[in-house]
Amino acid sequence: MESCTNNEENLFNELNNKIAELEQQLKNRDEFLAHAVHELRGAAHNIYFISDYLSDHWLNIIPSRQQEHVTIIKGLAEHLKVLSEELLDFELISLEITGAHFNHVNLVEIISDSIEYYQKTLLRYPDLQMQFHTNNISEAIINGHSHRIRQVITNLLANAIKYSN
Amino acid sequence: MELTNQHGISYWQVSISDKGIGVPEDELESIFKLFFRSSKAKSVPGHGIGLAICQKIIDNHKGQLKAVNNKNKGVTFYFSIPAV
Repeated sequence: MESCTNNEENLFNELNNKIAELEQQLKNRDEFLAHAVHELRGAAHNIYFISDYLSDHWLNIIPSRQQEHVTIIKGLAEHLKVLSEELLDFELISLEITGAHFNHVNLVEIISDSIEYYQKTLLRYPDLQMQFHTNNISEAIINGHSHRIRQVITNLLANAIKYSN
Repeated sequence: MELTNQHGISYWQVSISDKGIGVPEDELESIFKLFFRSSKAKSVPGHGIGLAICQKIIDNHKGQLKAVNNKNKGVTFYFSIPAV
C-alpha cells in the first residue's frame, strides 16, 4: 500500500516537472518570437520610410516603371509594418504576467471613453449608428489592466464598424 | 453594446453586436485563433490577429470571450470578467 502511494507521488512529481518544462519552453518560444517580430518590425519600418521618401520626393523624376515599383514596395512595406506591429503586440501580451499592471477599473468609464472616440469615427459613416445600453449600471468594477480592456473594446467596436459598413 | 451582470454580480458581461455578414457556425470558435480568417471575410482587409489578441487579454483576466450569430443579421461578441 505504501509503495503504491510512493509510486503515485513519484508520478505526480514527474508530471509536475514535465508541466514546468513545457511552460518554460512555451515562454522561450514566446520570447524568441517577440525578438524576431521586433527585428522584422524594424526592417519593415525602414523599408516603409525609404519608399515613402522616394514616393514623396522622387516619384515625378524617375521612369514610370520604377514609379510602379516604388508604389508596390511602399504598399507591401505598409502591410508588413502593420502585421509586425500586431504580431509584436500579441507576443507582448503572451509574455505579460497575469495580474501585472492590474488595478480596480470601472468598465462603464472605459466603455464610455471608447464610444466617445468611435462616435467621431462614425461621422464618416452616416448609415451606421451605435447604441450603448448600461441597464442603469453606473459602476462595474473589475480588477484589470485598463489599457488592455480598452484594447478589447476598441478592437471589437472596430470590427463591428468594419463588418457593418 | 450592452453591459450586464451575470450570476448575481459575480461577472460583468459586455456584449457588442453588429449587423454585418456574420460568421459561419462551424467557424465561431476558430475565429479567436491566431491568423484565422473567416471564409466570409476574405475580401475584408485584416491579418487574423485582432481577435486572438482579445482572447489572450480576456484569458489574462480569467474571463470568457465568445461569439454568437444573431437571429436576424450579424454577430454578437460577449466577454465577461469577474467583478470585484
